[in-house]
Amino acid sequence: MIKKELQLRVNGGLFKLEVFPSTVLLDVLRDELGLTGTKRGCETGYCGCCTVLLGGKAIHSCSILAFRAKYHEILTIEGLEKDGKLHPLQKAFMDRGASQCGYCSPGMILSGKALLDSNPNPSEAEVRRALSGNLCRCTGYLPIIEAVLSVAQEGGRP
Amino acid sequence: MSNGAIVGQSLPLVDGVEKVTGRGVYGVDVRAAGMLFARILRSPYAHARILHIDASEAERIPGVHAVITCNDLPDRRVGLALKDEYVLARDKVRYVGEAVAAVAAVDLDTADEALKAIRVEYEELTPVFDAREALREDAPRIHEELAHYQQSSYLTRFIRPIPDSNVASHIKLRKGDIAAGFRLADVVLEDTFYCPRIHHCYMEPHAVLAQYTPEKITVWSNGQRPFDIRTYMADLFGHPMSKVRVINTMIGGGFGGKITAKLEPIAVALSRKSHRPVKLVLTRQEEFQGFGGQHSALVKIKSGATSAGKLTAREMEVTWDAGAYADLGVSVALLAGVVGASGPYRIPNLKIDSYLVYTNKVNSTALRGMGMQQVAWAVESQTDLLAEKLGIDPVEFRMRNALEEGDRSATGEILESVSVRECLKKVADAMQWGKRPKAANQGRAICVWHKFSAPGTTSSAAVKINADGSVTLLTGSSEIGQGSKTVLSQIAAEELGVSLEDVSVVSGDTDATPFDHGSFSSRVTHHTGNAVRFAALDAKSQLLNLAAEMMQPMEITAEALELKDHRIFVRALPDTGLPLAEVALAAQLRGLPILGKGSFRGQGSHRLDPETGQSSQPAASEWIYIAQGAEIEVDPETGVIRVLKLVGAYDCGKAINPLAVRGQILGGVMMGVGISLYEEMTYEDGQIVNPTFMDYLIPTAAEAPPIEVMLVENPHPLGPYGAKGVGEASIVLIPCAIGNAFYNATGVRIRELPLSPNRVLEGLGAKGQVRSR
Amino acid sequence: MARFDYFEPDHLDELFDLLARYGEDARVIAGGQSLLILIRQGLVRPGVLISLDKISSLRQISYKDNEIILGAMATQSEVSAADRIREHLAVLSQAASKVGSVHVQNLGTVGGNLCHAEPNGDSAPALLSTGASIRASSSRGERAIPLEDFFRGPFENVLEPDEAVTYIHVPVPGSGTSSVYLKHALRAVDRATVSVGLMMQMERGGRCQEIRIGLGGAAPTPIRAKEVEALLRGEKITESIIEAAGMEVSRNCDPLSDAHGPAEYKRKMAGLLTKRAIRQVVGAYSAKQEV
Repeated sequence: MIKKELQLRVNGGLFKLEVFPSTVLLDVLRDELGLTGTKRGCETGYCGCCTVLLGGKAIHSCSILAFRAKYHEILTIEGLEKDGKLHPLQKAFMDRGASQCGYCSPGMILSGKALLDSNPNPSEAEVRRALSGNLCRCTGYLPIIEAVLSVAQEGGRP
Repeated sequence: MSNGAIVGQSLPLVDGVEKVTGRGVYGVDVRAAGMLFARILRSPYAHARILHIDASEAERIPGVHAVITCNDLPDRRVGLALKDEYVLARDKVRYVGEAVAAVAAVDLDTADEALKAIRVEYEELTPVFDAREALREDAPRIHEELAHYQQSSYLTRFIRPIPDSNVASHIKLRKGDIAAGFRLADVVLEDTFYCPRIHHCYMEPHAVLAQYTPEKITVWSNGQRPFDIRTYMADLFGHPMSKVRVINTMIGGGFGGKITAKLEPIAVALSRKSHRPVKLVLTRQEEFQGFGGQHSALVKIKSGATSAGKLTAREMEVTWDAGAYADLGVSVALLAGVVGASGPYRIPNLKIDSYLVYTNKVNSTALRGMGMQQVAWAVESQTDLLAEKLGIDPVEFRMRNALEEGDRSATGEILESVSVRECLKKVADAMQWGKRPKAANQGRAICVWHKFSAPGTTSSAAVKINADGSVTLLTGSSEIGQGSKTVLSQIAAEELGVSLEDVSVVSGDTDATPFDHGSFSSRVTHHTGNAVRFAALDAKSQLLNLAAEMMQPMEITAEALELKDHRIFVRALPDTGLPLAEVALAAQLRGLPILGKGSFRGQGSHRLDPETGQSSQPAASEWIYIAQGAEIEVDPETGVIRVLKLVGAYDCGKAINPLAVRGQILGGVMMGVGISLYEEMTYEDGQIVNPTFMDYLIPTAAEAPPIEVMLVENPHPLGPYGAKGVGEASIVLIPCAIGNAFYNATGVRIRELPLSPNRVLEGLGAKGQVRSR
Repeated sequence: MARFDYFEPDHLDELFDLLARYGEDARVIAGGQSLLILIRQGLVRPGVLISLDKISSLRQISYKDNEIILGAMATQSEVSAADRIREHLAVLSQAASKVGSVHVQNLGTVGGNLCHAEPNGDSAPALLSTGASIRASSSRGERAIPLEDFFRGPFENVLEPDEAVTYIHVPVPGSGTSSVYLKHALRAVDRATVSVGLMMQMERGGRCQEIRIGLGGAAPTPIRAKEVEALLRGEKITESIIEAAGMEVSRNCDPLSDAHGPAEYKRKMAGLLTKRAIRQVVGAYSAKQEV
């Protein structure tokens, strides 16, 4: 087994890498690109801590081969801030206590962003469903749901 | 109690930006140049002798730098309280998954290959998996040398093992005359209840990076008690404490599951052998195999009450399944099993026996609630049954028996800051108890409980006023997501008259921060909060004294000065003063930079009379009171319980940060929902059957019910601004509130958790039949 | 994760060549939501993975007069969002929206879900109720496999090592047809404890003209409840026949006890869900009549 050349578009940048084809996107992001904001919490695709956006859609980066991800733009949590300004979701998470230990936060925020980008005025049920692929053990979810809804109501997305 | 400018305010967490941007460095993220990657070889047997380990083939694999077994560590037992285990199994393995050897290699694939090449010869022994079976006279002895085990020095000898048995600790309480008590009762009920093992499920796995040199051991860890780890490593590897440094990384959740340091000694030993830094991170499967969550418990309870609704006697026998090692089960068996077991009630006659029993499964440990949810499940379920038998409203029954200010607890402690009735009334009013009609298949219930914070622990802190007037706060406590850095900063900022942004916190570094017992048992706000407050007051005193000197020739004493809004000024002449920064700089220039220190020891002791369980000292540093209401609806065809609403009142003494307090309560409530309806660690022949998030089910955002949180602020006389610790309390009553609401809806009493649809449907089907385990 | 070689064929012929060459040592990867987890757990150890990603024809959803053709790579999200599928094949649309989390639906494919052959997957019971058939292709040619003949056992399908599923043909139902997918699961993101896909064509007077029922979690494989269909076909749907249908389902199904529940519970739920599905479809039909 040999490494092969791979080009990935991440957070607006283009990266050339040499990677084993069996490597999943999560490991490439963390180990090759040093983007450790995306986390691992399990091995069976349920915790959602590894969530990134692929072509604007929320996916579990542990469950996709890095080579498959070359066809679309990847957004990780590091790509959300613009010129030092936090995304409204990041700010809402902080203001509403939606982040306690913070381990699930990158994944939660990105899942929230994917929802609001395609559905700017979701119902509470839609928010809950969109976030059900992201586990949290600290917050009891309600502050997170409130944070996402608050951003929807304020119509805030850059 | 009024709010200060900062204390009492709902402020965002001071480390929030790091969390929402992904910049925070967690245990899983730390790296060091040249670091190796470690894996643990785990026993496939629940009970076996180790005859021989041959690691020679593994050591020869290219890229493998070290393989260790018990022979690479001192031949000494370790343990947080009772020293009954080894870092790596020696002579015997006692659970499937026990660590037998470990490997450090250039990458994980190589480490995994090396694990496969380690040959271990076992001789299987008969295992015992059930705590009741382990109590039998003819049960295999899991710890043959139990009689000779030592106890850890800091926890003052409260553990009572029974030699030549599987009982790691038997704690007793005897108060009054139990037989007479039951004779006085008009109604006596006897029931048995059961709670299974459940897991913490912190999102971030255990992760350690260790670097060993003969001069210094450095450990980066996401553990909750860094000073414990330092003591442990110093002792195990023969370094003085000054040459061991434990540094907390950012921590992705703990809930009590990151107290026991199973990984740190393995990583240090591998580093010692390989002469390289070693990183050890667990997979989620290993989290379930290598860490045992909360103790399963069988609770037998017999209670008597008069027709006037007064409790006269309570007899309880609690059997805790420790798993293979005692770990913090000793505290669970003492504090939940005895001290708090009978509930927040006035009961003149008590007989309680609490047994911590070894079985051949991974050991259980501290988990949010510390055993209280298991006893509350039994007691509060029976309380509703008693009330029903007596024809008294369940809330009224609790009111009639509730503890009050100045009452004596079960162990004889005079209780302060008691708010049982206040919490109960608040919830009853919020639910319009007794005033609303109930729809078919719906039910309601309200329960009460009390939660201890461990007695006799210490926190200390230091505060530096920098030359520009900013503040650096040094605390040995761990930020595990509960918001400790924020709450402690708020206290410092309040006392020092600065803004929250002016305070920065260094936490959980055993070289840089003063001693703290750590983050567990809801203790940080109360204990470390006090230490920080005293440290800030100490720094303030230094500042005011210097300011008074600097304001000469005005004859001002420090007592006449006030420190507020970055200024030190004369209270009676507010325009006369100095900027804080100017005084701080002056201190540095005069050779006395401002450094304040403070410490606090929580009251109480673990030591109870071995026969009566009575103590002249408090058995807890503080008591928190909770009332929890639940409204549920059940689908009688599927057995699915839908939680319509959870309403609770939580006495936090003083909410230093109401937003953070609400967050902690919501998290505990949701864990409670999980353990009520979905969660159970399931075993087959000692092997866990559901070690993944696919099969061990914790609630998602789709399952979160509406939750109302009401804070009661009943100040604790010793707490900072009256604050108590509320981190754990909210999990405790969820199962019994839901269980009682289900009974209210259906007339069916289920005595075992979780209330899964299948179990509910069976219960409904067998209506009228009393089920007990 | 164990290492493997990875190929991304551009077109079908290249796919078939690779399959012919590597045979048993190769696995086709579609969305990877099941396969990658199996590989990580060490339950499956392919030496070669062949991705369908670059074959654009397999991503399409084509609409013909009498059938809808799903490419093997059509994702659950794409299927649940497709208006025309929602209109004609509510059962399929609903099933796609209930497969795990949104994240899983964004990558997971209907084709992949079928090939994974879980006893309690979502796509199979839904598609069984539509009378769907699979196109399995190799360098030796293409064959049509009715979906109810596609499953051999738990996690086992009837594909030869050199075959891949390319398309799923779903008949467009006639007028007077309503369908529904009901899933009973512990949490919203879980696999089904038991699920039912039901499609029924009714005529005025409330008589059942045609009916197909797919069950998930009720047997070692997804199954058609043919005995129950026979009970209902041609009959006027009354509450008592619905009860009889529920009991027949419970009696005939053969579920496995597992983490989702014991067999006895699944039996009861299969019967219950079938009754609820029939009532819902009858209700939808009546609602349409009133319009």
